[in-house]
Amino acid sequence: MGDCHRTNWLSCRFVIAVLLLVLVLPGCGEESAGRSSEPISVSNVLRGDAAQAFARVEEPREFIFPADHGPHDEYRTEWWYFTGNIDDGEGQRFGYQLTFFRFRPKADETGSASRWRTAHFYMAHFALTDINNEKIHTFERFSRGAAGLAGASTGALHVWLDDWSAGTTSTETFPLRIRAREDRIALDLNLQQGKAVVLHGDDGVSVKNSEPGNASYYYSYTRMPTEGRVSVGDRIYTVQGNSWMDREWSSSALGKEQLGWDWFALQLSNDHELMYYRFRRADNAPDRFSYGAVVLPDKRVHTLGFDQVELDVLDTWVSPGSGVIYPSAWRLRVPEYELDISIRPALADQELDLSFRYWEGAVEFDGTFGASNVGGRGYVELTGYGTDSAPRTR
Amino acid sequence: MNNILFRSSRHFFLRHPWQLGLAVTGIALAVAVVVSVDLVNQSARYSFERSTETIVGRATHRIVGGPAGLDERLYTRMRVDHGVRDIAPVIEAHVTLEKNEKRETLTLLGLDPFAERTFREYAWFNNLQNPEGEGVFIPMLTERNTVLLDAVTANRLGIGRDDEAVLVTGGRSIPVRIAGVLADSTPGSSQSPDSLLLADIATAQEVLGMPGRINRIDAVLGDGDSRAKSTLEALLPDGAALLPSTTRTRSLKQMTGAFHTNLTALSLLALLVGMYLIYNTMTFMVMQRRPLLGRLRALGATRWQLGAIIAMEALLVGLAASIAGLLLGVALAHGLLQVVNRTINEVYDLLTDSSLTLSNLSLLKGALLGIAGTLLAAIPAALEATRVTPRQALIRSHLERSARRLVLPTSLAGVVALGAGITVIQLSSPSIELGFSGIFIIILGITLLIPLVTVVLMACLKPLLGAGFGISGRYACQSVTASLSRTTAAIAALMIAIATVIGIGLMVNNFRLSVDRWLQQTLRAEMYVSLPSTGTTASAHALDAGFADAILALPQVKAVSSVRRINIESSRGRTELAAYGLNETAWKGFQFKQGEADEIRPAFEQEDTVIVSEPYAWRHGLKQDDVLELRTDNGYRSFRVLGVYKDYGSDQGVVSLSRRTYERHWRDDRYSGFGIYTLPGTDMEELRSQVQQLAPGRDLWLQDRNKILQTSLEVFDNTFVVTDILRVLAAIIAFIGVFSALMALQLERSQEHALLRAMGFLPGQVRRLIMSETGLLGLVAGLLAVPVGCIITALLILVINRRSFGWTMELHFSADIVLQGIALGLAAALLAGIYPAWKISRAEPAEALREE
Repeated sequence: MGDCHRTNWLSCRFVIAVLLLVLVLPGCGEESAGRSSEPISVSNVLRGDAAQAFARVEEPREFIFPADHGPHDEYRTEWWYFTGNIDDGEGQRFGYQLTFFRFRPKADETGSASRWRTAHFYMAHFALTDINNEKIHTFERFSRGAAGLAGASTGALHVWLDDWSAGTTSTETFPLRIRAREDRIALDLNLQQGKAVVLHGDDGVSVKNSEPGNASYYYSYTRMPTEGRVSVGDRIYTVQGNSWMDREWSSSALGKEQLGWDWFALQLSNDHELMYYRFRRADNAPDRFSYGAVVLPDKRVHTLGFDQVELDVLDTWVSPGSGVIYPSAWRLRVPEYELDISIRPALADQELDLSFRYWEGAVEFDGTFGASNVGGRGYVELTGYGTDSAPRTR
Repeated sequence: MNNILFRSSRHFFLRHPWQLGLAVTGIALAVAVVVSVDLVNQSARYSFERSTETIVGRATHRIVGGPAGLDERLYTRMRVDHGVRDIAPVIEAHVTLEKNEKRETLTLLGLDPFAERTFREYAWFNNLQNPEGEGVFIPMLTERNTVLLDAVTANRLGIGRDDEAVLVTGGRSIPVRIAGVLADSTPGSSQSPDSLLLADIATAQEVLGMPGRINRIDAVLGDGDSRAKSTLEALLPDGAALLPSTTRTRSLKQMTGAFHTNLTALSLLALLVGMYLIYNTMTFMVMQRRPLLGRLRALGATRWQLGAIIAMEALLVGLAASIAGLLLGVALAHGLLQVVNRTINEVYDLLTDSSLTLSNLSLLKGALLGIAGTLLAAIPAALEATRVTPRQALIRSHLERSARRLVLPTSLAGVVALGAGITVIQLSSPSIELGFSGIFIIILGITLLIPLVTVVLMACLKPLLGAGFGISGRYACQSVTASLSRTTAAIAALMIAIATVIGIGLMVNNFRLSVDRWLQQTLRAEMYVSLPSTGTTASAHALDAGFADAILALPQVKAVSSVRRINIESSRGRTELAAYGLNETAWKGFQFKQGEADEIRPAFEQEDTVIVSEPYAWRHGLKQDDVLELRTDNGYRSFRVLGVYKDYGSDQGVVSLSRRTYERHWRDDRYSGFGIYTLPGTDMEELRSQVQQLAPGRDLWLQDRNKILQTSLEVFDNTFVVTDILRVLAAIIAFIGVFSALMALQLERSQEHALLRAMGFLPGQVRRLIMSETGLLGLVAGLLAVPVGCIITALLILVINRRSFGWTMELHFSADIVLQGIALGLAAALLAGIYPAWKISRAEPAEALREE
């Protein structure tokens, strides 16, 4: 219960899929050749226990900050995941995503006189959804985690790839600064601490499946009041809103039966947050490793098992670019909290057609929480769609 | 009528197959030489463009540093702190890869595959795959000594994926694993890379022993992107410069430009010989049938019909010869390319791949030359043969009379051409092409003088030969003059050929002598030590001062001199810089063309001054007391030119300065090599092993003076292998041409000879007559060729070599080469007489006469 975290699968999907499957594993050349047009099947993504030489997540650890904001090189994969909804107070709304992935394809590392030699690689995705203009701008970067080109600090929360960065130079984690610029799209935000760090699963150990050691360390900042600037072309907007951060590291892999996942990070207007992800299985059965958490205004956290959340897809959207069918409206219910909301994307087309294709975007929702009405904004991630086992037009 | 004409034409060729065969062979050879040289030059150019595309990629600019390259942190600063995206770090070096006894020098390119998308797409991490699609990116980045090889080279060396090979650089042998072979067709490139060893930048730093350093940063800057340019420029440390990429390509082309121009000119010289030959052959084939043509005219054939028949013959001969010439030319080009590439690799230290590019343009040029040349060469003869009245045509004396009438005007034209040639040469400096044109005009002028010289010579020789050989001698002289229309072209072709052979031979010989003397004078130390390297990348391989101290501490060592060679790039291109730590003896090795050695020594050691080599002074228009700007580690600085010294070591030229001056302006404490001065009676072998022991694990390049002299001259000789090949080809073409012309000349006169027999000449007398006639022709050609050959030598040395390389050299005369030339001419001439002489002496006079 409460095992699998979407970010872990993200890591598997993105980093392993892109760097290992496409480029390294023998026999996957055909997939790499169609990188941009043919999505990589989740079921083909690295599985099992290929990680024996890496450190494994087997028991709870004491999280020490800011040290644990830094990299955990002995694990295979790790990421820093920032999303948020912001607006300029005059009706201009944006969603943003800035993600850094660290990936280590091989456990052994050779010493070298060269600062460029490394076993660590970084990938970063940057997306800005210009909701009013109905446009999403997406970018990705790759680098080695060496020679100062990409990496994460050990003494403070600071992660960067080229001139994209998130973090702080002081030992105080907050305020965090997020900066990314590419082409004529730029983001420069300051994030304050809204709520304390949330440790997911069992004191931060999030078990993936029955396989021992198939788990990750996972924590989040679920509400970070945000202000700053967004540039789109020549327009510069002064914005504010709320951000969310996910941190996870592990050496484990995806189960065979899991096709992909739908992940929700919702910031409710009544100062609650809800995180929920569910795995979609090949046999359409509910995946018992799906997991959720409710963060209360008093910062207490309640975890939700797979059977405590009901999620129904109300509508679908067909990507005009890739032809992939994604769910585009949901009804989400948590009976225990008398929560019943309907969720819609702020913009239908928030597909990221990068080295790896997925849908990740700003959403809005409304409904009821107990007796009162509730609304809010959030982020949803949909992966594993458009693969052979999932429907797709075209 | 046409039918008769065709048949008469066909009949003629069928009856004279050797004449047809020789004509075709001669023209084909001339076409082959021109085509092959053109193909080789084209291939070399494509090869440069291809390697430029592979290595430079789409970079518009590059940032270069001083002798030690750039600090890698500059790149990080630009990328991370200033968000500059379109930049890529590059390490580039020439290394040797060995596998199964095979070895090849390759360009090692150390890159960051993450940064390559905009530059060299084939090296972008996403594209780094084996042909089967297997990714090779992770092992390449994470494993030491792991490299990728291009498919062409892998094939050539017989290396496959996962093979082990040995990489040799800077005297070290490093085992490497070939993690993959780059696909044949590379994304974003029209050409497949060749001679390329691709490695991660970390591997390149490790292998080359340059942690923390990179050679350059490539950049893509848009045309209007002055902001990005100024961002980069503001970040440049002292000693670094942002240069447009085109300077690299330009300097590559400049380096070998003179070399290729000279090759072209030599091929044109061969063509010139070929043109004389074509003219001679075509004229002859028409002249021979003059009576027949006259009779056809008398039978009612019009001039146009005859002209058309001659033109068609020329066309067919030209076509057949061109096809043969093209085939031969391509085959020849394959061979020549190897030789040329070796020269380019040895002399210019540039890597060129060995694939021949068959350019349609080159082939077309060759075919046009063969066909149009043959047609053109047939025009004068066709005009003459068709213009005269049928009756005149039957009488040979008419033709010869008009030929003799032309002697004076022709000579006058010759004098005019000589004057024009000299004027062209004087006015055209520094153009190499125009220099050659001048030489060609002079040669043309000389050939126009040949009729006059022949008449005069024969007049002088007649009494002499008459005294020696009686009537046959006088008769031979007389008949050479009498058949001036035919003999002149033959003599001219022979003369040009011999003169070319003599001229080029003398030039190379002079050059070699000058280089030898220069080396004797320059090499002052008993032994020289450096790291084996491939020239331009020498900066990466260096020895340190401690090594010099260790050598000096050896008991038999008296003194040590040092040199540090680096290449500095600036907007003007590349300059080779040599920093010398010299002692008194070593200083005496410089031979100054400008400046007094003793006077300038103190300033050379103390002040911001340089001395430049002759080629450098020539290329950059520098003389004593001029000021030269060099890009130092502190930015651009001015240096006064103290003198110009003789140097045949580099045709690009070298700027030399003292070690002290060097260290003031460049932050570099390393050395490229040392000269070791020993006490008398030193055992060189012992010294060699002692010095080698001072550098364990490194394979030093250790040579004593004599060995260097020897290897230098070997390199020199290799350089001129191409020249020699072309010289021999020109000689063969001339030989065939002269042989066929002279033989035809004699055969045509078989009736005349029969008449002589009938009049009572003995077979032996006629044989002697024939042999003396051809011998006389050979002699005249040979005699004329000596001064002409010397003139060609002088022009090549004083005009072409100087304009191409800036070298001056003394003129020496070598009797061997001159005698070889004359012998070649005489041999061709005498050989050509043997068959007609044999034939006529065997024939029954009555039979021969009846054919009339």
